[in-house]
Amino acid sequence: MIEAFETGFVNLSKKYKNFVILHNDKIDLSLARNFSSFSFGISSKMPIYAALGFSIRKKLPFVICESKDLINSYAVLRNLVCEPNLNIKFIVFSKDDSDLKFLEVLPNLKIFTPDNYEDVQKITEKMIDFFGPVCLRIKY
Amino acid sequence: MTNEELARKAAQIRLDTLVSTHKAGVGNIGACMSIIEILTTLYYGEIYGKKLLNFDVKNPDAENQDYFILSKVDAISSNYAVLADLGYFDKSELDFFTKDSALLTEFPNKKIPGISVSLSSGEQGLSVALGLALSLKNERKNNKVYCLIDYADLQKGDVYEALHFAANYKLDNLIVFIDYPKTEFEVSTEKLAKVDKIQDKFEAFSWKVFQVADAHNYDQLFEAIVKAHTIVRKPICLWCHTVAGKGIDFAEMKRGYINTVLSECELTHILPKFKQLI
Repeated sequence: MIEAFETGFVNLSKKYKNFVILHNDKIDLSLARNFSSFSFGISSKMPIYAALGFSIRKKLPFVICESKDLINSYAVLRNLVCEPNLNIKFIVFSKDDSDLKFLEVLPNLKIFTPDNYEDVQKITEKMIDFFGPVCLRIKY
Repeated sequence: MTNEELARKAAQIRLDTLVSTHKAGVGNIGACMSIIEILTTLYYGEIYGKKLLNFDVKNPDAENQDYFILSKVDAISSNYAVLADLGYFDKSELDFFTKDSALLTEFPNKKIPGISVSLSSGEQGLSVALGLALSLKNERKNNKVYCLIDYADLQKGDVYEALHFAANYKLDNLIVFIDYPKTEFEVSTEKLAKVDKIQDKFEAFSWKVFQVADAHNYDQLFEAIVKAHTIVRKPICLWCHTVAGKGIDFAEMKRGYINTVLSECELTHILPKFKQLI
């Protein structure tokens, strides 16, 4: 599934340049080495906070993290990202659906949970068409 | 602006803040009054004939601008007074501060012209400022990000994560003011933690720290900011010693005026003093 996302992201990058990848080191992404990206160690909240700063500069931040990082940063995600409807995209890797109930109730957040290779790739390419926070959940 | 003009502007901002918080019945007079000189220095001050904070009132989203993030959210009404004075929105909006459907909310909101980001708590501003400074570095822009945080917020964990990563990315375009008022809620700040220890902590994170002994003195503030602009490859902290409730004789350093607003009687008493100063 991670490969599907990476393929989709490479295709996306051919059409769109104004993005930045903000991630923590919990997910091993070869992708991050090839694009404008910043790592925040094992911090859960800092990639999201940094994404807020990048969005002020009209960049399109992609936050890549584990689902438990979003739950750890729930207040920040709700009050600072979802409520003001900021254009920040989340690529969330999750082992189960325990986070889904929390994410579903967040205002303005669009959630996609594709379950096959093709869908992950397609949604990755299309997610910037939706303005506002979008969460692409990828199971691994 | 000369220092005398800045002092007159500070009196004007104090007056507007006191009136708007009084009408709203919501505010923190101690916190609002302590940062007025820092705000007026940033928004109206000039260094070497250039505006200290580069901004465009007619285009709040301008590409080439400096940013100010007020992380001390309980003092937001004084920031609103400055923004209204600069013309970001009509001054009459101050009369409706925190009212239903009003533009000016109790916490900073992105929808308000001149406010860059919505915040709901004091520890969040520094982390967002870090992201902003990182973005500017990434774009190879020379613009600065100024952030003002409250001393009390140094007790929160997010601040230390931001300190770590700001130093890690060598964000010399990030200048943080720490408002260190003489009183803080129920206990004196001196009892909570010694300043020197906090300074050591910042320096341990590889930040450059300058202390401003009297942050109500424009000369000292400008001197510290000029020094801050000379630092490279390190984020900068300006440790500003302030007085809670500054400018209101009976409220200065008084715990009773933290997290409260002036009564009708108190406002009537203090108004002539500020009108005289303007």
